[in-house]
This record gives sequence, C-alpha cells and structure tokens, in this order.
Amino acid sequence: MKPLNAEGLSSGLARVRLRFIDELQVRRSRLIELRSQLDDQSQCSEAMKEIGHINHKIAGTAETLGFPSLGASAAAIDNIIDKTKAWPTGPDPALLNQIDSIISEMNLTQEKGDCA
Amino acid sequence: MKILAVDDDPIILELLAEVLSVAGYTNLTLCASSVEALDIVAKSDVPFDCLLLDIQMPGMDGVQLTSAVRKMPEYATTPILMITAMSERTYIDSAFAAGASDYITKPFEISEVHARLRVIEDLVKERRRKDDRNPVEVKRDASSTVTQADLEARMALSDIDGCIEYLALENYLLQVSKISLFGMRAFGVVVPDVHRIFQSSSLFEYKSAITDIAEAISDCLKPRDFFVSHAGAGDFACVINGGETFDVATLENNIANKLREMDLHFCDGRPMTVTPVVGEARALQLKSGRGVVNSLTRALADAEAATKNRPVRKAASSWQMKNILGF
Repeated sequence: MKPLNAEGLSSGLARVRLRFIDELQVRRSRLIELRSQLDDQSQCSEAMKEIGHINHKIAGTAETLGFPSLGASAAAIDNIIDKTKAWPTGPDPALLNQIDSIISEMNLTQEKGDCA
Repeated sequence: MKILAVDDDPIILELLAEVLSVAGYTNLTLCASSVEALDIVAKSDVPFDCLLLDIQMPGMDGVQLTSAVRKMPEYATTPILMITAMSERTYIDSAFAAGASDYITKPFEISEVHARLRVIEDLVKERRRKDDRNPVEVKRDASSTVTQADLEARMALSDIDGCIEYLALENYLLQVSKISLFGMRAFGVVVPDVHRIFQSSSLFEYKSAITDIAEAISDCLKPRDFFVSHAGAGDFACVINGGETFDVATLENNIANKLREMDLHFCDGRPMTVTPVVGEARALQLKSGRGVVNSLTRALADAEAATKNRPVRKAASSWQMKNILGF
C-alpha cells in the first residue's frame, strides 16, 4: 500500500460529498412521495420498506461524508423499520415525526451543501 | 491487489473508489448488485484478490452472494470483507457463517477501511509468496507424504457447518465483542499425537482425517450456535453461544463416538484411531479487543494441557505398521 495522499483524499471526498448532496435531493423528493402514501393502509407496508431502504443508504455514508447528525437520524429510522415486521395500524406517530424531521434535515443539509 | 466492490448505493461505491485509490488500491471493479457481481466473477480470467460486499441489497443479498462465491474453488479462501450498515449480531453471525473473512460497519472510519485492507493485502502477498517459493507445493499430488508445513497449515474447511477460517474467527470475535459476548464461550479440541499418527501418511489421508474430525465436532455441537476453526495440526478452536450448560466430558465422549461411527481408515485399510480431547470452556464476556482473540490461543493451550490427563490409546503409525508387517 502506498503512503496515504491526504490532499487527494480530501478532494476525492469533496467530489463524493457533492454527489451525495445531489442524490439527497432525489432521495428527499422520493421520501416526500412515500410519506404521503403512509396514510393509505394498502400502500403503507411497501412505502415503509422503501423509506427504510432510503434511510439505510443515507445512514451508510452521511457521517463519513461529514453529516453525522443526518446519518444518526437516518440510522434511527432505519433501525425502527428494520425491526418492525408489519404495520397493521399504520406507523407510530413518533416514527412519522422522525420521517418529517429527516425530510426537513435533508433540506437543510442540501441548502448548506449548495452554499459550501 | 484486484478488488471487487459490490453495493447497491452508488454513493458508497464512489466513496470506496476514492478511499481505496488514495491508499494505492486502483485495480478496483465496482458493481451494484449480487447478480452482476457473480457475472463479473464468472467472466474474470484472473480471480479477484479481495471482495468488499454490502449485505442489504435488493434481490440476492451480500450474505447469499458470499455463500455463492465461496462455492467457487478459486474463491474458497479469498478475503471477503463485508462493509455494511447491518450492525446487529444476527447479521454478523450469518455473514461469517456464509464465509465472510471480516466485517466493517457503516458509517465507516476511512482509516479503519485502510487498516483492514492492509491486513488483507499482507495475507494476499503472503499467499502469493508461498506459491512462488513452492511452486511444486501448489501442484503437489494428494498422495505425497504429509510434511511439517502441511501439519502446521490451517485448513479452511468451509464446506462443514459452522467451520470458518481461523482468521475469520478472530475477526468475528472482535466484531461481536463490540456488541456483547455475554453467554459466549471458547474452548479447544486437540487431537493428541497428530505428528506421530500421520507420520508417513499421505496429504490426502491427513486432510481427510482433519475434515472428518471437524465434521464430528460440528455434528456434536449442533443445534447450538457455534463456530469451529482449524488451528493447524489436530487443533481446533471453537466458540459457542449459550454455553452455560456446556459439558466438556459429554462433548468429548460424543465426538469420540461420532468418530468411531465414521470408522476412519488409512488408504491401505488400517484403522485410524484419533481421540480428540476437549479443553475447558472459558467465558468470553468482559473480554475486549485482543483479549478476546487471545482467548482462542488460551483455549487451545487448555485443551493441550488436558491431553496430559487423558489415557491415550496408541495406534501404530504407518511407519511402525510397515516395520511390523515387514515391508
């Protein structure tokens, strides 16, 4: 293994961070769409599965790319959805709040990222 | 080092490409699904030296991909590093049971990825050096006589339930120790006198016997959650979960009975008498870091010490048999 190129790493991470922010816009739009499907019992389960998947992906990279708070929020939602097998009475209000909250947080992250 | 990274998240793939390239790992192939990965692996003329796999992917997941890859002879011992957000024990267990060599949880520290890859690179280089040093060794016939190096080598035994490579067992314990080792115990199983028993035996006879012994241990540990690793010669390091009621004497008897049922023989028809000794099972809880890894060597030392207290039924070695029979 060659010695670590810190400068190269920094510029490489900056590139990926920009891609993450671009992708965040797409993911946020999809989350808003899925959030609106949660009131419909027939769509709730599938929508929740995809919400979990999107949050799982955000949780996997956000902290490494410099967004620890967003990563932690996404991981919390991912954990709850991963542990819940079914949603017979729809999602818990607390979970809905968490989803609403991460949608706002994604917006803020995106705005900050666009300014940077 | 030729690396294949599989993840359905394009951001992770880009991140890995950056993280790996600054450390000099530029021979990197990226793909987004297990199906695509299997296709790439199948079409690759030169096998990959290392695989980096996500677990949660649509369709075939990373654990299923690991199992599928391990079935390919050229990937039997290739380092497979899981890079996943699935930090729960059940995912760790299933990944290592499928054949994972190591495990990193996302979000990862870049320095951690570099450190694990350095270990893998050293392992790959060491294997290549060994192959280059002993080109004859690689092509050795199974009928050739077992050497000291053969006896010292750790076998992978990946086709047997619960059997994983020794290094993977160390990495498994390091990973699980971050969550909880409560209820887990380590113990060693040692076959006394292995050097004498297999003196003048063929490599095939030795490897078959080690495989049979591992299978007997695995059968006797079921239905518990366990991992067994060959530690060289006739030594096996074992880890069980929920070992509160574990009884060493019962396991030792069961393994002996199982091996009797298996009716092991050398190729010339002579019976092969191996009587494994099981060492004391030590609780792993409260151990952390290297301490938990050192528990494996202590467990093997305990089993080795226990052999001194067991009556050993001495079977004639092939060398002795040849002398007795006069040829």
